[in-house]
Amino acid sequence: MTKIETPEFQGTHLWDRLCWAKEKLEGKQSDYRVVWEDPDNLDECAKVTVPDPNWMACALQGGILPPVEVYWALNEDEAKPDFKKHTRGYLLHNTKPIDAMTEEQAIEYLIMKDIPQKVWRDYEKANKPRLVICTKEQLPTTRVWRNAWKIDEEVHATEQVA
Amino acid sequence: MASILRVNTLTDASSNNSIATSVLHNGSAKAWWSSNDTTLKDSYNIASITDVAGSTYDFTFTAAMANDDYAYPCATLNTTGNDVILTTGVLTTRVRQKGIGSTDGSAGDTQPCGAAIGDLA
Repeated sequence: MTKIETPEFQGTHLWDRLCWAKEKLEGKQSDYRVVWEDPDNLDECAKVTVPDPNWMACALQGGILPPVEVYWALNEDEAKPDFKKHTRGYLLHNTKPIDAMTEEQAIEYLIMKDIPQKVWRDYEKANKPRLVICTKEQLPTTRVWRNAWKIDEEVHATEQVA
Repeated sequence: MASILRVNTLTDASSNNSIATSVLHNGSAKAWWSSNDTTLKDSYNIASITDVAGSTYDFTFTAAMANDDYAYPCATLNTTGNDVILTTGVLTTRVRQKGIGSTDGSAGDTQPCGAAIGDLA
């Protein structure tokens, strides 16, 4: 199958790039799941983040998504108490898009984009696992007792993780 | 883009029923989603879904909204009659949907869908 070439998108509105991607690229349902817990609310159940198939297709294609640092900049702006609206949205559209990623690299990008920094920033210093990348098959098969899901502190690479 | 039509107004063959392209853009959903639990059936401008807890899901955007004043009509298809949806914790890059009928966090409200209508950043 011929690989579709990504147009030169730097300077094109990100939303328009997504329109191109939706039309041209086939969605990719990932088997990866990111299970994480909020270190400030340890009584809460574990959360499970799943990439959107169209977003994953963009990540694998390359030349569409902005660097993750752009989202951090916007998040900083939004966290300010006097925030009314974004004034640096151009960062999404004018920053050079990132190259194609592997599925694993895309998951790492998504963690840094959509999961709070307090969860992953000093991950290795935590005294219990608070973020695990696993596959769909490693999660419980039913949602019974969903609010009691926690990351298994003795998690191993091939076992059920929550 | 391969081809771009640069016009300000669209109109029919008899020059009636005109509409400005800005109206089309401003009035269209900037993101939408339809999901079965954490499996997104189809979507636009969604980066990820997070299963936060029983009947509670976060949807994050790829292209951020300009502010958090946008509209977010949401619904769910469920099997337990828990058909009331709260949308809480809205950010420019995220909508949180919560089904309030389910208190046991088990099977209800697991097919959320919705949209974001407003201005993009």
